[in-house]
Amino acid sequence: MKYSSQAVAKPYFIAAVGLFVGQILFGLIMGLQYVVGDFLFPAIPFNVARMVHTNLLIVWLLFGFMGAAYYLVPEEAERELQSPRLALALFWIFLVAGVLTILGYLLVPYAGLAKLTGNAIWPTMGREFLEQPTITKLGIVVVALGFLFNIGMTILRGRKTAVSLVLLIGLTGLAVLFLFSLYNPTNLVEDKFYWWWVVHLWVEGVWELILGSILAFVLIKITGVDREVIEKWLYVIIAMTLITGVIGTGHHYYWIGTPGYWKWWGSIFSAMEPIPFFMMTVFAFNMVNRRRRNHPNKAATLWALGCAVMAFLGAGVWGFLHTLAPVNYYTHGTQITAAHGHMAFYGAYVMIVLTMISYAMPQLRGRVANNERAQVLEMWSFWLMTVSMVFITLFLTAAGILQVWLQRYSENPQPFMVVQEKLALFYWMREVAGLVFLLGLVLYVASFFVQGEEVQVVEGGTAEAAA
Amino acid sequence: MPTSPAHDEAAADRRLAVTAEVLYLGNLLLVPGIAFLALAVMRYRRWEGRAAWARCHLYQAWRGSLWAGVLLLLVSVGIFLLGGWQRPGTWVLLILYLTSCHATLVLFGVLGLARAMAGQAYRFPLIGVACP
Repeated sequence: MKYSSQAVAKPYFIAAVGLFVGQILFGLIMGLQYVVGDFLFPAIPFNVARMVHTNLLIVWLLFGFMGAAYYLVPEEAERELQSPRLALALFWIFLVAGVLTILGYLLVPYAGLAKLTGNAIWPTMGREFLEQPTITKLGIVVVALGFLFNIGMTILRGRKTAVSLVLLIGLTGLAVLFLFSLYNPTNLVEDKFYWWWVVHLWVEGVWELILGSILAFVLIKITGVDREVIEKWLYVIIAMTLITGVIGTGHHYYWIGTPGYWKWWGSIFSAMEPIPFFMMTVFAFNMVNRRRRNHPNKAATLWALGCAVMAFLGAGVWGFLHTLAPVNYYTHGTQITAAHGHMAFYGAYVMIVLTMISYAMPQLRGRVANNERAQVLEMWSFWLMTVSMVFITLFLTAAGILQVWLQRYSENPQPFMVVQEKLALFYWMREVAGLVFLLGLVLYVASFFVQGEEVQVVEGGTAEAAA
Repeated sequence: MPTSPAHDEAAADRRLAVTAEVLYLGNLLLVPGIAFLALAVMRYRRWEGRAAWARCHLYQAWRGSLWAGVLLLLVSVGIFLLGGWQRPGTWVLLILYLTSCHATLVLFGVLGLARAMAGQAYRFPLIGVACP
């Protein structure tokens, strides 16, 4: 760790991993509720489990992004963070607000939570992924503004690199686009139209900039390849991301009441959305192949490469699978969407945060890399989580294809719940894969506590265990 | 800027390797058939002057494309014929198979392209051919 203020990233990473565990537990509860409908009912109804699962995902990824930024920016800007105290204050505000919101979901009926938090004054609740009470949303805006001030001032007063500027653009976009969560028109078409400006333009727009910049940073550090080379790749990748992703929003406008031309715009541009992910995969492998040093943190390298591959598969391939309007006419909102969502979020965003944690956490704990045993355990967790996520995706895809056939394509379409019962086998297999994922996550957490011989860097950048 | 003959040779080697991998990927992703024909023309030209690692990329790409044809076309037709196109199970299997197989073949090409760009030899996993 070059700058002492980078240490503020540590609590963010710890909170991120803690909330990640919570997210997976609620995912497993919900997965079981697909096949055992009254499991934990009425204590945790399905809609609440789903809300907690998705909201925890968003919150822990935001913690991860903020931690990554607090670690990355001082090193790129070559100066201490503008205000480490502000960063820590915002951490506690965000954590308390996030935990209170989740507890609110779990302990108070949703309508009661809306009443309790004064939703009638400024109604923004009740929309998928944006279920947070208005007061929480305002809190997120305050935290985001403080965070951007801190990061922005550090960058503006220090060295400006492509990596930090792309990150800043991504984070600014994240904050600005979240403001649309506070806009809730009464017209349902308009509501959905702008709702996607948060949801789509986050994950298929500005978050990809954050992903690209973090990946570039880690690759610079672990490969030693010239910054200029990596930055050129980064420019092309983010250009393609924005060219395809912004108008690609149109693939959400097919069936919500917008004009028909969106079927063309959405299909054409979103069909190109795999391109930046494809380039990211070539980029990551190319940089590792051209590395000038063997960084002792092998786990971080594995996460970086795995992130590129899984993002390409989940966001690129599985996104393309159902993005063209004639295909989406049948597949919209089926388990195929869930399959895509799971692998894309895991591949692109979960893995990039874990890549950064894997690289930065040892340094925050005073060593260049974790000991060999800890890294082996971490790599086991990588494979368990990644392979199980592949199977989750395959089982959900199979369920989705069958669902489309039985519910929408056949000559005698069957009702939704009748079809759901016929998908039970796939849901059971998904649940088993989910348990394997949890096992991988437990190993991941355990890897932070494994003791062993310190890894030391020797000449040429390779590693060996200390005698 | 003046360049040395060795530098020119290395650049030509890399160009051959990258072109082969790009055509392999082009056949899978953008212009199926056309890229395959271009690859076929390249495969049967003489490349004595080029380095072994670069020629190896060409052989991999060619062998990979042939395998891709078998795996994506013939196996898919087999699934159809055996399963029957009116059974949902056929479609579940076919779409899962095609998506997974195609994505895997593309990833092989991505790895190959990254190696070609770095000026390194590469052998496709499972379907590759051993090079001297």
